[in-house]
Amino acid sequence: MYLDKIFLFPRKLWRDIFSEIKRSSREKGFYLIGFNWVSKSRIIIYDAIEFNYTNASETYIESNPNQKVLLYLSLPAGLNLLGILHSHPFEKGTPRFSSIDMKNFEESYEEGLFIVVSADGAYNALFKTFDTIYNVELKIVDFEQYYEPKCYRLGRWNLIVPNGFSKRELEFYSPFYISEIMNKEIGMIRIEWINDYAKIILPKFYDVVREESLYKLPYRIYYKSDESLRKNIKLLFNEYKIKDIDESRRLIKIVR
Amino acid sequence: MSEKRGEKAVLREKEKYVDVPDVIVLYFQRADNPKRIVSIKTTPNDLMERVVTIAAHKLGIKSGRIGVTGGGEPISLIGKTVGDILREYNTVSFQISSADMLG
Repeated sequence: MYLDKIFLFPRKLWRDIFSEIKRSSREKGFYLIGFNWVSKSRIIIYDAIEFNYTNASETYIESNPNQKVLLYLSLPAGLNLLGILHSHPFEKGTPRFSSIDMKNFEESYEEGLFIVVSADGAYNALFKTFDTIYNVELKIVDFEQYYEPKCYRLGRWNLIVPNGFSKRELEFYSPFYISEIMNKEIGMIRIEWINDYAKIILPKFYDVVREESLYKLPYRIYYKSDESLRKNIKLLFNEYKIKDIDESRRLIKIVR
Repeated sequence: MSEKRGEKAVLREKEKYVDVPDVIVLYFQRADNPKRIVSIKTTPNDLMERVVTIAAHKLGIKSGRIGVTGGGEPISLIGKTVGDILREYNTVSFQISSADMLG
């Protein structure tokens, strides 16, 4: 069967991930974040977030499920968790997916891009959609401006789409993207009693930007206290330090 | 009724304040697909882990290792009842997802 999709991966991100993979004898896993541009048949990767491991060895890794839920909650409108990239440090040449890998894709994802990278940088990629799995090629390139991400601020939400996304497309699709975020936030709304009146309290948040990341995308961390904010940042991004907090923009910059 | 800057206020009914009701409906949302929501009717003494397992199954999540957030916070379920979770997190709405296990 023929799959009418092109998978774009920024060359710099690919190099950064590979240098991270090479530094370790253990398997590494990354969540791939990006934009599914359906009308252009493009799946565009913008970022990769390393697993917060609950188990890691040379031949097996397991991610923290709480990190993954938090990641889904933190994604700006427009962006999605598109799949997983993980390494096989024990293989050279084109790597093969293990039966554990295949079982995971089957059970945990309705749709997704799965990439495995060997010790010498060769890769193998699969795309799963509607219970059909395709072997796919990645286009690892320096992005032209057209495909780079652009951030719009719509009310209290950030919307991220490729630069080439037209105004007309924005008008059509941004209500859909924003409604997905609203859907997530509905469950976080609280009621506070003031005398005999109930007041709706929207969830508190900071947008967290990793300074060293390629496109500096803002991930929204919801929190109840300062302690939980720090805990959630650590759970999502592993070991990072807070570099700067901009209270007026509800923005936190973090570095390794 | 007063309304100011997006905060809606409704008059509170004169009723006795109940800590946790005897029968509770919990809502679980698939984190990767927020439109997929299931509701589970339960009681405060029920084990939260059991309720989450049923919700995951209904949402089509087959993996055994499940992560849960409530009110934007990751929730630790082990040994806790539904009542404990409601008192601690003050919400009946949860997002769930599975871990990734790769070899």
